[in-house]
Amino acid sequence: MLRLILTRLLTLVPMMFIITSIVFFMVRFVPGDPARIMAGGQRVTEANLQNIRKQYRLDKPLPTQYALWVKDLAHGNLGRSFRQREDVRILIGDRLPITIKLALMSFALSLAISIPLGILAAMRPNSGIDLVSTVFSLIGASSPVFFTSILLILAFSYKLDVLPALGRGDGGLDTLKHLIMPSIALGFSLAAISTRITRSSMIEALSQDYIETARSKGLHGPQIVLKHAFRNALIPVITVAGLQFGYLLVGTVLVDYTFGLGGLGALLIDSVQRRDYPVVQGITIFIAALFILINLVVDVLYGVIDPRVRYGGRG
Amino acid sequence: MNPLREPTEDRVLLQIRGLKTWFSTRAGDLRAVDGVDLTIGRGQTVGLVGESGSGKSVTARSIIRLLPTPPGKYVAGTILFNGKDLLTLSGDEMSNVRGSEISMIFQDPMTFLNPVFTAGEQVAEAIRRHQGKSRAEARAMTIDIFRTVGIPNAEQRYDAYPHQLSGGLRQRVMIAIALSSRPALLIADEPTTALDVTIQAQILNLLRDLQSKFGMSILLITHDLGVVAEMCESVAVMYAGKIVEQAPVDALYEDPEHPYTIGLMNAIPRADLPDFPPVAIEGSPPDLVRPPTGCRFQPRCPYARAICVEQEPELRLVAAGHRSACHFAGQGLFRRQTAAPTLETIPS
Amino acid sequence: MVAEIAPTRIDSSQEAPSSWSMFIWRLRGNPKAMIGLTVVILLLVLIVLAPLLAPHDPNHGELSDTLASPGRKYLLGADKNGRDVLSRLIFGTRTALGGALAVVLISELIGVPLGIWSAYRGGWVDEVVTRVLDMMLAFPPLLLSFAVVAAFGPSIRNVVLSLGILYVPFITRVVRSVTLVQKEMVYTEAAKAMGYPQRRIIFRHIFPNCVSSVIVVSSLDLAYALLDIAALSYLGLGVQPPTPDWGNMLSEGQLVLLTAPHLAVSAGIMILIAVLGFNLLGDGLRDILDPRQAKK
Repeated sequence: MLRLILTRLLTLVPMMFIITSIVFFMVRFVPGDPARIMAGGQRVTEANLQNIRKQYRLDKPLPTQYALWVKDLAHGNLGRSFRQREDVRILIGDRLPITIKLALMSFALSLAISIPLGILAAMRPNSGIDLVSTVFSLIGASSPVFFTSILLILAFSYKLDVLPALGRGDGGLDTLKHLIMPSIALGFSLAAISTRITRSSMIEALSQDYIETARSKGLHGPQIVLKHAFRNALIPVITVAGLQFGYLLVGTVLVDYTFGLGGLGALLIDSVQRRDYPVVQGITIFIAALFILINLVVDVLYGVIDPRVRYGGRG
Repeated sequence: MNPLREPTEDRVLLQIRGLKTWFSTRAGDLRAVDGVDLTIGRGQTVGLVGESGSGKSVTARSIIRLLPTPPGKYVAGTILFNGKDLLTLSGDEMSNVRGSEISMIFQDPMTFLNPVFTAGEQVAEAIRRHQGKSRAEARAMTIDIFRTVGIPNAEQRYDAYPHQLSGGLRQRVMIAIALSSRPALLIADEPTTALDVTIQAQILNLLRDLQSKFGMSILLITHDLGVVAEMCESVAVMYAGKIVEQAPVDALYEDPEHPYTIGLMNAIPRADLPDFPPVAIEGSPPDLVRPPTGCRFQPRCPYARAICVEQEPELRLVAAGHRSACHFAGQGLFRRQTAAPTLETIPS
Repeated sequence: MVAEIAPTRIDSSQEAPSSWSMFIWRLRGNPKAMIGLTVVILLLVLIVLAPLLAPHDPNHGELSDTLASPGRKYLLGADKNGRDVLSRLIFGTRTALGGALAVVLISELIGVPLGIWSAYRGGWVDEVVTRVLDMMLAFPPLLLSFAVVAAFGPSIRNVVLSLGILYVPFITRVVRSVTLVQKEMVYTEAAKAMGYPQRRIIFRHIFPNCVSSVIVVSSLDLAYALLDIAALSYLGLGVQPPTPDWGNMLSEGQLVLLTAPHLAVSAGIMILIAVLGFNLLGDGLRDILDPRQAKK
């Protein structure tokens, strides 16, 4: 088990380094003056440019820049926005709570839809419910999450006037109210893919030989499906959930922006639009670190679910 | 047991009459089992032999209605067991029978055991299901059964996962599952095919011991004539969904009365007869959606005549306790030769 | 005398149909693929015949018609500059689909040779490539393109280039696994034994077998690319106005959603239909091409 975690880290930590290095080097190799880019396209005097170069160490040789930057990262310093005159990590910290709330609500919703729907569709293939799940998956996967969001706003805010359209609200219950539509939009999108995977891995599990054994033991139908098949079906579902984390991230960013929730996503997009590169850099690194964490959690989950992973085979 | 190996009325455990199990396919109904009669007596070991596609596995699964019903369907017939017709039982009643009165073991214990549960748990589950015992009681009983089926270190092995056990041990676990509620009938579908030869012998011995210990009947499905010779008292040979020959085991081997049976026997290499190499049966198994007219074996049968195409032969008595479905059976025409049978052996 | 009768034999002497006609037959029988194909063909028609099909000039707007509702003059209404939505949507097909095609082509030009070569060479080369692929596969392309756009500036060119590179793992993974299988096939061994040069082996034996998988992945990748490009345009990071594009039309539409929902809704539905078409086609083709190949 420990060995598993270590091998995983071996793959993921280099990934993080490479991604962050790419991000680091990209802006320094762009045609033009990196200092101007760091200024985010604002009008700056020559004196300001000198300040910027000092602040971002652009006057130092490249290897030194890199080394210092890595040192910063090790201390959790993600850089500083020139435009907003604020440390990136503080900016992130402000916006993280609402983003986490959104991500969790959406994820929970997507599980609540996809698992029952996927299981039912697998138990009765080519039936009415299977058709519903297939159509649901296709449309959910084909509709951009920002379009779904807009449709929800149109329906529930403008036409029906039951939910607030934009913004994050005043905290507590009001914020939750503001998060309803965003979670539905994102949850729907995620559920589209999860349902498909749940369905196909349940079908796969139900066709296995050990299901025949379970039946021959005289076990009841639901017990067979839920106990014997589902445990096995869970394995690919978790794989996909792990891979889906990337999609969850993207979706969160887009939904955040569309609904104006003022979370991490909005910060990222705004920064990109304003060419506030230090912030973009910092957030990308933060996200990459998050990735490693989630991947690790997924691998640990694997070990919990599948004993073949936990104890190697003897054969 | 009487020399005819036929159970008398009061010693009959399971009686299958006219069983037809078909599958709906896009091309039509696939007649996997198309009119099968079979009788199993108490404490008797009956063999069901045939190639793949002969219908033997489907017959076995029909007994406990294990087939998915679409596309499978039990079209006709009765299966009498302890006075009830199993085909008329409700789903719940049937699931009560499975695993407690009739159990089944399967070919490949690796794929037939659930990889995410321990060996012991899979047995205990069956015990709790049919005997209503508590977890602790079921666990104790499981360890006990493990010992009975010859699993060493039973206590530790309870917590082992299937992938941690050898093939022979896994098959013993399967047997433990099947025997946990002392069934009257054990159906064994190719129980040794996936095992090494040395382990095969162990498992067969185990089955024999358990049979005499518990007095249960065994229906042994196999394509291996050697296993049949060792284990069975009575044998039925299946081809294309029908039984083509049925006899006590000695009679079958000494005096086969159906060309298919002879073909099967001739196809086995014989170390003691080096001058007579194995001869394969020509042709391939028939299309079960549109079976051949007349005798189903007729397209591949070296003895076939016009009557074989026109008229389907009935399974009839040709000697004491010996039935065959061939027009030319019972006339002493067939010899179990180790050379390819020739047309001249049938007088005109 | 009993007449001899030759045993009846099952007649399997019919000529096997060509694989092309088999493919067409299977295609016809697969509703997903047929619907998807129809949509894709319609989109292609829109691209080619845009000037003929669009009722108005997509870039010219009459300010007096600003935000006109759908009606006889403007079938789907007009945007805030008075431009016809329908015409802009039709011309938008060119940017959207054109961009998506460029992304997929770039990724395949790089990815297909890479996958074949890596799997064929094997050894540590393959190890390294696989590791890099795994890393890239986990990270969604869209997020990294944000960084690219932030550095290099928002434009469709930057978007297409960065996505094209980031999509490489999708195709390489598939091509690599097909090549690995083909490598073990008997006829590859036979060709090697006969001393054929590597190039010939690759082109004649391995490459053709990749084609069906590449087609399936291409269709699905086109769907993803359409979504990603639309997202980036929606965020103002891709296609820049005034060039018509579904993504930025959707973004404009959101601003006037309360008073003129027709703009956003029609742009969004256009995206939905296009992506759905490629998804259906890809799924359908996968049903037709992949499992049958394996069963054969």
